[in-house]
Amino acid sequence: MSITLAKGIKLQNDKTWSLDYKCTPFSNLLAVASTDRKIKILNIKPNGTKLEDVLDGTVHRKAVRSVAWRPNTDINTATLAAGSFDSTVSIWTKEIVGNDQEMDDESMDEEGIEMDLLAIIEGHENEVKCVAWSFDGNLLATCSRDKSVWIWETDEMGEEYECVSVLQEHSQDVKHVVWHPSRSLLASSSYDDTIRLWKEYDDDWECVAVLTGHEGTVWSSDFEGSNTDQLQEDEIRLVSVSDDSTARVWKYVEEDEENDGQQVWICQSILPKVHANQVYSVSWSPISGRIATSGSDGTLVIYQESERGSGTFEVVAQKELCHGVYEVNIVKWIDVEGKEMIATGGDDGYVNLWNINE
Amino acid sequence: MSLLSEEDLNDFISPALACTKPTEIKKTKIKNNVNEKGEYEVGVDDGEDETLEKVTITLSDCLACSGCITSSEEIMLQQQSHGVFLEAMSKCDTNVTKLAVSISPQCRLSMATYYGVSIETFDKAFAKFFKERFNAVYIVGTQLGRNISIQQAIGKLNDWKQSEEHKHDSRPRLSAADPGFVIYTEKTKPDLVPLLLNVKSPQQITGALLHETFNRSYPDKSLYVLGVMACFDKKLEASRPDSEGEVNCVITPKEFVAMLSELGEDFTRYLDMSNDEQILVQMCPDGWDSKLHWCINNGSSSGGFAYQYIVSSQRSLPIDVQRQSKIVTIAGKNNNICEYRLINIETGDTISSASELSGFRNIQNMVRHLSLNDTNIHGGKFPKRRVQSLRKRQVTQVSSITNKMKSLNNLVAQPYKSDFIEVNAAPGGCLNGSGLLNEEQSTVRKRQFIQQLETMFHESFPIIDPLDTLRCDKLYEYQFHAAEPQKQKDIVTVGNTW
Repeated sequence: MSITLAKGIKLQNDKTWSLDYKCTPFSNLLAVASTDRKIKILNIKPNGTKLEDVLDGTVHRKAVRSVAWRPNTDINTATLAAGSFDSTVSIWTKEIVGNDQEMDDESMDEEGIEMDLLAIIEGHENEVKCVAWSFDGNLLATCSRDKSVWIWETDEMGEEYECVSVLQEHSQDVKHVVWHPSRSLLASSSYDDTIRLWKEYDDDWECVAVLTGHEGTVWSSDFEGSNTDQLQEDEIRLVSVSDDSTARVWKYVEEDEENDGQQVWICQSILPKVHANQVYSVSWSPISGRIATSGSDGTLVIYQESERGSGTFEVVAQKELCHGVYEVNIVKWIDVEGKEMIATGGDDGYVNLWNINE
Repeated sequence: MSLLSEEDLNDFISPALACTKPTEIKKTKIKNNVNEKGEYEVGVDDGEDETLEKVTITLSDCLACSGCITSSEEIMLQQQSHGVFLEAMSKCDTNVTKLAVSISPQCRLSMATYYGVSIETFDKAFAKFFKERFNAVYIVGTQLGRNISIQQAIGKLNDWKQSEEHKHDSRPRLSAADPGFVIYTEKTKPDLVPLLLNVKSPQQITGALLHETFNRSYPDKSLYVLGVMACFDKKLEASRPDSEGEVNCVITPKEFVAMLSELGEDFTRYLDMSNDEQILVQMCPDGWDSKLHWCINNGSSSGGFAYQYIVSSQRSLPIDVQRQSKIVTIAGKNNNICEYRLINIETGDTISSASELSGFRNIQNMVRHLSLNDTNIHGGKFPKRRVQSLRKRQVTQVSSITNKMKSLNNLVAQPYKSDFIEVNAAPGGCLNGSGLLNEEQSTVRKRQFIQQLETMFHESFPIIDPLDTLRCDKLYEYQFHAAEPQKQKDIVTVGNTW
């Protein structure tokens, strides 16, 4: 298996922090967050990419650190959440109209997809590090250097936000939040070297497990999901990456009967070591079941499990210096019209799209 | 059990990352924990540098600082702890300085449950302990203070509702009985300070009343008032400049239990002596009803301000209107929100409304709703035109919900439209106070235990009508201090910022 560059897109001079991908009937939208505060919206097609929109850079006063598309919206609506170092979260939306309907209007084609600012959410005391939507799109989780994770409930429009919980158990900066792809289960990763899992209990959210083992900041994590075969009822796994240069796979074991609702998790495996330094980002493909990691050493690594669920992973491909000498902040599996690719973002201001050749 | 752990001290509103106190640097050499702006940072290792004068931080510094909400453990222990109380007792001339102790009903329930005795048995043993050990002159509950606090809150609400001001700004007034919420508002939401109802809490009014009584009885002596309260923020309240001298020291039940063991006292000895029927009468201040101050009133277990306002509002209606009115209790979005609405059942109109709201998440939503500058973020750069076009579609959805609300059976709590909100920082209020004795280990069990306390609270005390007691002409008022709107500041802290 090999990794080859399909396209490198220089979007700005500043760092690319985060990206998120959403397929709609008319376009495959890649949102990109950067230090330059201007969120870029790309349309990814098998035969090329197009910059659709650059969002108003004056809405945030500091870098946009994280972007996330809202799932499960009306198919003609695309809604994006963006978390910024200015402590706020912005919500953007756009009704997507097919190009066919607008064929005659050439100016429309030039303008592309233009998103409107729908809401600004304030609450965090300082830098927002990550934003993530629950699988049903009803909840938005945000985390910050203020050590807290907030869960917001929103309406169908995505316009009003009501705080349903403030989770303050992390003892340090919370770097990343991610929801399970089909359950109401949230994972948060922190500078306190732990991952915490959260579930709703009796009208509030409770920490149900603390995953310890990483010997450094946990930068991000991703749940296992599957688009093809249904995972078993109690089959929940999470992969996490850390400053300690490792990637670990964690497995849910059972509910702890003795301890009201607490969950027992084990570290199922530490993935074969490739990275020399901090690992910043991880993505678990729901299609191939493969895991991709990237980080400070600039290497993109793909791991594959010998048999799904076994916990035995091997490195099937790796690509050094995938953003030149720069650090790679984000890696994400994307499905471009049936073809699985990887998107990465680095300190060089590029977004790179990678072909995976079997 | 560590008595004052950092976790206990946060009282559900966490402190900011770094506490900074502007300080005058006496020596030229810069110490590690004083940054270039001359701000003293707590929690930064300061090594052993003798060239700088020792900087001390007082509770009043904490109250004046806009850096964080609650102070550090060290500061709390220095100035408001059972150690401080014991030291004061050992130093003072007992012929000149006398001790009075006031205790809130939540603490009495917590400790009675802890020792496995009835409230009455606990009260007597508690009184006996302070009388024998410290020669206390008065031991009181806080209901007399609470009656006055409730009456004065209602008086101010009524005046405000009839004022010109109300016509321009009908946002609800907010109770100031929870010092954690007050300090949070003063420091981080200065624009909401005008909404705080400046009526002192039962703790402070009780302290003031004790002093008034004592000064009449013993004009040549002085009084030291110890408060036993449910949460650590009550210590900060006692240290407010506008409340100085009312309550000298505040401790929590956790500290009370620890103090007993430090003193080598066995509380069961006092529990066994609780057949002394006269003790509570003996310890009652001159001129006070010996039973009243030990009672509670209807409404929430955190004071019942919201409920009592609605009861008073109903009673003030002309008799014919009163007959067709009804107090409806409406559940909110979660367990920690509820609204009492006085409704004219003939017309369906709302006559008055008051809500109870607790917990940080609900406080957050409340302050977001009540802030006037909500729509004015980023100096008006908000692209208003686009946002409005989207709002129009939303309106049609909302109005259909409003129609549904017309039906009496289908009411939804609307705390932000109330006249008054009783706010508590701790989810569930005072019975969830961080200073109470809750030995349960898991969050779930702690919560179940609090629910048990909640049920017991309403069944364990004699209930008094606070509206049907003597009025007090003297007003007990806070002087709130809204912090300067926060300037853009970046405090360099440990750790990377991305």
